[in-house]
Amino acid sequence: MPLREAPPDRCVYPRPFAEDFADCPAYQGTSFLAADSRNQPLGEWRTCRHLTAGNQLENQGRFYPRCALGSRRQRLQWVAQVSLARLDVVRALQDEFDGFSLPHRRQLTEARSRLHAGSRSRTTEAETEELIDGFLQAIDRFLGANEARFEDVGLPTRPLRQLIKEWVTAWVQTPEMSALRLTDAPPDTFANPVRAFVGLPTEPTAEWSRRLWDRPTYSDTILQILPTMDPPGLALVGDVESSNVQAVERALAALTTTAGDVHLDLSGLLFCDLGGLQAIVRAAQALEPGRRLVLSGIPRQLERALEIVNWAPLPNLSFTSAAPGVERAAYQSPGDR
Amino acid sequence: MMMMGFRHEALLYAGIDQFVARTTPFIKGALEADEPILVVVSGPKIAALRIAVGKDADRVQFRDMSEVGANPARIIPAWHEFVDAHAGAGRRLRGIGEPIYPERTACELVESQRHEALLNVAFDGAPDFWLLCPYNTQALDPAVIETAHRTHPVVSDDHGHSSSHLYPGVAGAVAPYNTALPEPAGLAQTLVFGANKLPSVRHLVSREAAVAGFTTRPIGDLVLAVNEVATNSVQHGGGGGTLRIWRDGSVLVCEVRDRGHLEDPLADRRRPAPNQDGGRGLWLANQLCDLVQIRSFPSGTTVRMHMHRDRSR
Repeated sequence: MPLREAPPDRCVYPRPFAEDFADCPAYQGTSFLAADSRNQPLGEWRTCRHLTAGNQLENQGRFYPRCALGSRRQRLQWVAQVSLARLDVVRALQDEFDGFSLPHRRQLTEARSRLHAGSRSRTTEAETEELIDGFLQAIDRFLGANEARFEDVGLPTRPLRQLIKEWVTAWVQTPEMSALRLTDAPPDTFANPVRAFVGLPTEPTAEWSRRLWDRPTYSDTILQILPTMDPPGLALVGDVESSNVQAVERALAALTTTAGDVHLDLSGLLFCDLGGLQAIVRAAQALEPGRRLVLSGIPRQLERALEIVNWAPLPNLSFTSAAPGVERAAYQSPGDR
Repeated sequence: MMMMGFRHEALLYAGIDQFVARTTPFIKGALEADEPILVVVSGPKIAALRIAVGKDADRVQFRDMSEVGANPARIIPAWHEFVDAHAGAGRRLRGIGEPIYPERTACELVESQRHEALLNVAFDGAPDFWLLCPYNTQALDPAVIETAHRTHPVVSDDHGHSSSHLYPGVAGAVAPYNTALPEPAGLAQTLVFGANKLPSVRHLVSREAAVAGFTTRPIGDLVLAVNEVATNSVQHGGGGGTLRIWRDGSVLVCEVRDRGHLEDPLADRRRPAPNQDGGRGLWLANQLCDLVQIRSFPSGTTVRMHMHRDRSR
């Protein structure tokens, strides 16, 4: 019997997630406000912020664990856009939030179950209000003390506070609400791709070039080198480091034998060390005069590294701005103007 | 004109007025002899010197030490740049550099003293270059002044200048500043790594820096710097090493230890040429980190990269 093809956005990792789970690069453990419908103690189980319930159309009624970010390649692209540093900062902030808010959430859970157990009285309602106020004040202090970090990752604290306040109120008032997701927030409050951090749907990101995912030139556990169409060239997806730089050199050498400019899509790059940058620079230098190596979607971090080690002003290395919708500074080398 | 080579002179002064009174004639002397001069001191001292030198101050190159030398390992490249820009003209060059001031942290002070010692090696055999290093005896610890006598062949004070009998000569200048670093006071995260563990190195650095409260740019810088140093361990330091990360107040320290030996004490301060093969990791670490401490012995090498959480960059 042929196996039914799994939906591409199915979460393939074992759940519940272990405390030290790190296999999925996009994993976001717990949520700002974890809760379950049976008023179980909070913060006891770990889930992923991107995990939702998907409905398998051809098998009606059957649900599957669906990743809100999409397929594996969409997840990788999302992580590259967000950057690992930003992912780690958000994870750290979430852990800190979970830590200080746990007593508040425990108290609110109890108050909530009293509220919905039928004994709705003025006293319980006043008590609940007081708890909510205390929680919101603690949240304000936390957001205030960490404003620079929140701003840095693209989550301005003012709308974030509003969002959390709405969550807390809605969660306390609604007995059946298990996962707190607010989908009617103004769409532009938080930019793509950080919308995913606050449970808002992210738009699938456009790829700079059409990548031929099913025909990788090279693939290991941290890097995939993919041929691209429109423009023709290569895409580096993942990490370039000393263990795989030779594969990058070989792939680039194969490219430089064809005619015209050579295009390198770096918008899926999570990390590239100096050896990787040297491979790219050498490939540019190997081109005959008049031909260029065009880098698109170069992470800002790499641009700085190129400047520091004196490689940025090379004449046959050219930079184009990232794809539309990709949140990165447009860069033009002086020679392009 | 008699060739004098490199003259590395400590200038002892007490307070800002003496500073201005003793350095101004040195600057004016350079201008009169048409010798290029670069002055790297604090912003307020630059302002005071501009007034004291008067209308010719525009012929003096000034740079702020808090920008050039926040990480003292970036100062020698700045002097190299200055010397290279004027080399070959047959003119003597002059400089004033004050890398040691009371606001330096303990680790920065140690690295600044190492920098002073390294200057003797870096410009040994260089064309005529007279570098004056002011030391404020009112504000600095007497032990720091004594060390100035050990790192400078010439010292000048109220009584004029004389050669320092504490200076051990070029050959012995650096060794006293290549001693083992003190062990961290707090708990350290430890990761033993080999060639296939560089992703784990990067993840640990990124996570620890995020938990310590850093924002994304210094996190990315630290990940890049530590990865390069760890890659050096894999390629030249016996196939791997040990990463330790700890916090020292608002400073995050990432240490990479391996069994390799770095013989050139100036390896981290030579600006890489665009065409050289490799050898950029330590340079990059010095440009990205607030402080880098390197200690190398035949038994192994330790590189500590420091990042201040609250420093704007």
